[in-house]
Amino acid sequence: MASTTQILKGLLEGCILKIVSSNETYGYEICEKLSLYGFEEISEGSVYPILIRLEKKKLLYSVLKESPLGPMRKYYYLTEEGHKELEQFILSWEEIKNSVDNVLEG
Amino acid sequence: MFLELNLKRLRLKQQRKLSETNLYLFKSITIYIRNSSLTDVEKEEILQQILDMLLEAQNQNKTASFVIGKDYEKFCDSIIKEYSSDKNVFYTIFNFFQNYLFYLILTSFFMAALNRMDNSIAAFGINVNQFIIISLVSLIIIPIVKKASQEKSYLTSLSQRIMLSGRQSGKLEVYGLALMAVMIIILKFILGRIYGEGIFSYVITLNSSKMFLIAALFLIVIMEFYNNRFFNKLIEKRK
Repeated sequence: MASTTQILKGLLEGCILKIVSSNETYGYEICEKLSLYGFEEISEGSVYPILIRLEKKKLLYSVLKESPLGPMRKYYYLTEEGHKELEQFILSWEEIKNSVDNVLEG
Repeated sequence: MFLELNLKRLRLKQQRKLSETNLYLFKSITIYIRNSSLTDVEKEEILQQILDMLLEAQNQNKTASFVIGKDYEKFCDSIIKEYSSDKNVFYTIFNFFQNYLFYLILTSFFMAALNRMDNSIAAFGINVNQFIIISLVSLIIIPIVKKASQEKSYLTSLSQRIMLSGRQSGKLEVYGLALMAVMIIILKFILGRIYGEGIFSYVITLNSSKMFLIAALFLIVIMEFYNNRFFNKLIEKRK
């Protein structure tokens, strides 16, 4: 089971990079988008820790601004390295997807 | 430093917007994070983000589990883990040392003031016996109390909170006290052997420990600056 979660986490990281790359965004909005795409169950509670990790890896950077709700909110952006990582993710995902499809189609 | 306080004030003000259930959840999270090994700046940064996410979830009529998951302790642990991932051993030791010195100085002054009040020691200072006890409290008891508070962080209502504070101390506290008693006996035995029994009533005065105090305060301030480094960078970008 542990390995499945590892794979899912990797996929979530990739998806979050993609979401951040298209627009300036923040923690809750990312959760919301993931849930709209059908990730709700999986992403519960793991989005914020992943954001921290991606920022530590310098794939994202953040700017603190006051949110309309009151607290200071971190808005996330992709770094140069983040863009490279996202491209890499898309490539490996295509590869995996094709291989799995091939197996399933026999 | 001031920025941190401003953020804290903002958080305390904004958390009142939370519903009762969410407020107690947020308070539990606050206790859990506050008693972790992260720096104050990191803690404030985290709490601010969690509060923002909770408020927004509440606005959209989603439950807190939408952002936090079903187990807030697991959620907090994974955050703490991510934050600690790039800290090296050197940093961890320094941080521990900073905390130790901070509590050591604080309690020493308190002890010295007490000694002054009951006139047991003429000069403003503490004796070696007291120094041993204070050191061990800072080294053993305080970290254990923090860990125990994390375990007891779960709150659902005010009445539960009152009940919890009166709850019997857990295993962790008992082990801590036992460890401390053993350490006292060992230290006293060793010191007594080396320096003779007279050492225990030797008084460490404020005057005689001046240099040590200055060095310790210097270290604490340096660590604070180091911890604030990343945070200041973050804010500069905002302007």
